[in-house]
Amino acid sequence: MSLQPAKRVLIKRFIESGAPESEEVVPPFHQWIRDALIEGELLIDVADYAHVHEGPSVLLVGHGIDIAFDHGLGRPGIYVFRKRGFDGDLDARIENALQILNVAVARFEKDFPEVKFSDELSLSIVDRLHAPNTDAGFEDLKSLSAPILEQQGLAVVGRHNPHPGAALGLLAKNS
Amino acid sequence: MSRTWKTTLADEISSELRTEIDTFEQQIEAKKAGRIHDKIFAETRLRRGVYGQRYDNGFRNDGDGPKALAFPCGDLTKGPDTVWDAPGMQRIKIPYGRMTVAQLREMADLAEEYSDAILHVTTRQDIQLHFVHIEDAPDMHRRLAKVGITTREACGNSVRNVTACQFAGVCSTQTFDVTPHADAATQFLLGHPDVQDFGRKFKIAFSGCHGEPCGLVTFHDLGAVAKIQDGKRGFELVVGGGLGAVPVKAAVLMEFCPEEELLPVSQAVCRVFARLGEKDSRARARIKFLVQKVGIEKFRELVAEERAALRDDPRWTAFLETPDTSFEEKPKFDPAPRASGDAEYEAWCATNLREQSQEGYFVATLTLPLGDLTSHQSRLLADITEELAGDTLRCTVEQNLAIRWLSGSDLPKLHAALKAAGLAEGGAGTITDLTSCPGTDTCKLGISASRGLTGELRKRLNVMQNDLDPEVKKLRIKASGCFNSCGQHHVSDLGFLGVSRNVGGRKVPYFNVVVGGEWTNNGGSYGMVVTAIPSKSVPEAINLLTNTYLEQKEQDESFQDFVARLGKPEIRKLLKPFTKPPSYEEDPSFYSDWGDPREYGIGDLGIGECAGEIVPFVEFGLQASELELDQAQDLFDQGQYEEAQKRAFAAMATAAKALVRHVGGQVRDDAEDAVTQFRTHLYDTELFFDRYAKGKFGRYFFTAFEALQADFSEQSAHRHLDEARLFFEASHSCYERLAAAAATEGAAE
Repeated sequence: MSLQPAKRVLIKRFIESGAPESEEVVPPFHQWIRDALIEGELLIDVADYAHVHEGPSVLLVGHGIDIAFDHGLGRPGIYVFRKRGFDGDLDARIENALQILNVAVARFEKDFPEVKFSDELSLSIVDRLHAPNTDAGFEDLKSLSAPILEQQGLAVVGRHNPHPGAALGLLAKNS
Repeated sequence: MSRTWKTTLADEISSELRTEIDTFEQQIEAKKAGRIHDKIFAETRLRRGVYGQRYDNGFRNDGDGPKALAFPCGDLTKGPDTVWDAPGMQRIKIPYGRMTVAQLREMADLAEEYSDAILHVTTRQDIQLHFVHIEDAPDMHRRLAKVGITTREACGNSVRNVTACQFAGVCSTQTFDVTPHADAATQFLLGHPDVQDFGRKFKIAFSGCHGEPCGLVTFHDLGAVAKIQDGKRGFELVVGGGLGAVPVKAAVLMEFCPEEELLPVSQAVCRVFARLGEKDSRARARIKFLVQKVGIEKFRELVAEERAALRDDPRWTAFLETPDTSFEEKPKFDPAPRASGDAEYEAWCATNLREQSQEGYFVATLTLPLGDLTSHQSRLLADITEELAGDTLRCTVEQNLAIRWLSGSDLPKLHAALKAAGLAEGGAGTITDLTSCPGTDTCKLGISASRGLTGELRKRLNVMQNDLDPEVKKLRIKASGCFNSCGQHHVSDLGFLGVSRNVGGRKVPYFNVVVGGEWTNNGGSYGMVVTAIPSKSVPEAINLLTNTYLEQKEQDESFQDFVARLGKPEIRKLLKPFTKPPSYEEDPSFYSDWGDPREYGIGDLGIGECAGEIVPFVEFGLQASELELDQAQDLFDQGQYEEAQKRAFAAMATAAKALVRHVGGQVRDDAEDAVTQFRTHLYDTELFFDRYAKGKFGRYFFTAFEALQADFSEQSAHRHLDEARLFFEASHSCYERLAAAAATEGAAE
């Protein structure tokens, strides 16, 4: 089954050290809205979920994308979730999400100079209709994303969330 | 062509739900094509639980004043002043809070794919997903339908989620298990024609006893408390309760309503509300105003008359033939005494564990911070529940979750698993277990950040909880972002209600302080508003109030008795130092709300959708009829003549039933009754008659019904399709004439 019709892509860069407290991230995210940080994307509001265990602690909600300071699976990081908008097949959507993530990470590093990002990221296709979390799906995702990840100097090292109910996802590291 | 949820799940959804969802999808398309009026569409989506959210008017305060949000949809709207592309909220009804692990897993997936990976438990046992797009709603509904959930009437002017005590069936203080009755009321009233023409929403709650708070019946539109009289099961029924700006305690409608009369009496109450309730002024449209207006004695008479006139319905008692055991979750393991464990586990047991009436079994309450849990936590919780308890959980009115039927020997294992999932927070039902409505975070009506406030209080109280006096620890704090009181602050020891003040030319977020509400006895009495203080002063004010209570309380005096003894003027005097904020120059933080660095303003406040849009039910019927006509035409064009003719008749029947109900008649869903009742109420009375055509178009309906028994052909389908269109137009004209006559009559009065 082809993953190409899948629309929703989530890519997260993990923070290795120096992660700020969640409440410190709220003001910069509001500033990102005022600055219209991501060209061509409407950023709408900031949701504070710092009280939730290992969740999207601070969420910058947009129309086509969300950006979060996330603690999913206990690992802090920044993710970009392409949820709608952007015409193109899945490869293009992954590339686009990666580009946006790079902009967000660069700005986050500027806002929090003590933060050090690791060389690892996760890529998930949050679409259970077109991208079920199966072994075959994982192989498809690996093949589809490998060339894009290679351009970033990354190689697939395994699956992301081990829970069988989780969205299809992989982990990639600097090769 | 790629797969869709519609085709993938076609065989896994009941035909009724499939049709409803497909119709809603068509309505979305019709709205995009400009074929549905804003108000009608708004109420249509609200009745499917598709709610608006803050900033959906297209403006947001970014700290320097309201700024326009450039959504790509342009002028397209999903209701008056509600931008199509703006994020919204999907409310998912969980009747009496009971959900299966399969349902929880599905909602976890939906939250992750269409929302923000957060499931929010509400004070009425619903689950809400925020920041969703309206065009994703039909697929969400299909996936929910697959696991047996409908979002129908989750919002709008309809019967909302029927709530009940989360301990029903396993509680030692219950008179009997109210679950089957809550379920029967849910099923019976869902989509019932008699509940479609309300001026406002209608909330029903069930409780197994008088003393506990879990059912909160006293502030519901209709409340039922289990009662046994002369060995017979029934309910004390109360009516006309509500919180809101002016809280009203429900009045006793019937001291004892036998269980077989529960549904017909509820139906009669709904009919009285639909017929006599206020429709023009939203502010006075809840049933509490009708009860106040006519008086409870007269209201009782009206209900009794209505009940006597109801046509028998086998569903009234069908549920009584099903043994109650059908609602009992099956325990996974044998009963056992509670196993002991380490100090952390023991502390958690002290607040979050309750013995069931069935010896050796326990209910664990999961304290959810601000009612939130992630998709990942939801999946882990589903696994834990399935492994140790069975296949169901219940949402609570304090925004928590409950797992029942846990064997005492499994509790340490449960605690360890919950801890690994970040779900083993203690303090259920104590001062650290705060309740809050969404407030300014996402609600269009929010004035102050109730979640910001309770989040801050939670942080502070958690740090000091081991040092808190037990008398303080057992107090409850609840906050609402505005006077609509969704946070149920009236029935807490310390309640907070969002308001705002102008200070030195700037807006300041404030909270009214409400003290001394009673949570027990089903929310037995309401607290008193003493004063308003800046949002940022609330933590200090709480410290002062609780310290004063500890210092001045007399022996075993409760906080509620203490504030009653002290009185409003004394408490106001106590809080006076907090009432004014420092100047902006001295401390600008007072001019922002909790958890939000923007300078505070309410310029982006919207018009709430709690009230729904007031659209007469007949208009929904006529709209549905028109859609069916379009479908009939499509079928005809595809050469499916028999189906086309049948659908054309169905369209006529839909319009006919809407008109019958509009003139006060009762009609069942079957075609024969639709024809009979239309003839009685509209044709024989000549109300349907056109000035020139007289009864001609009405007769098309009768002949179309007769033709269902004859052979179908292209010609017959064509003729009946044409006649159905004429009947539909005549139905519209009839409704317009009736409305004009009613307006003239109203003006004459």
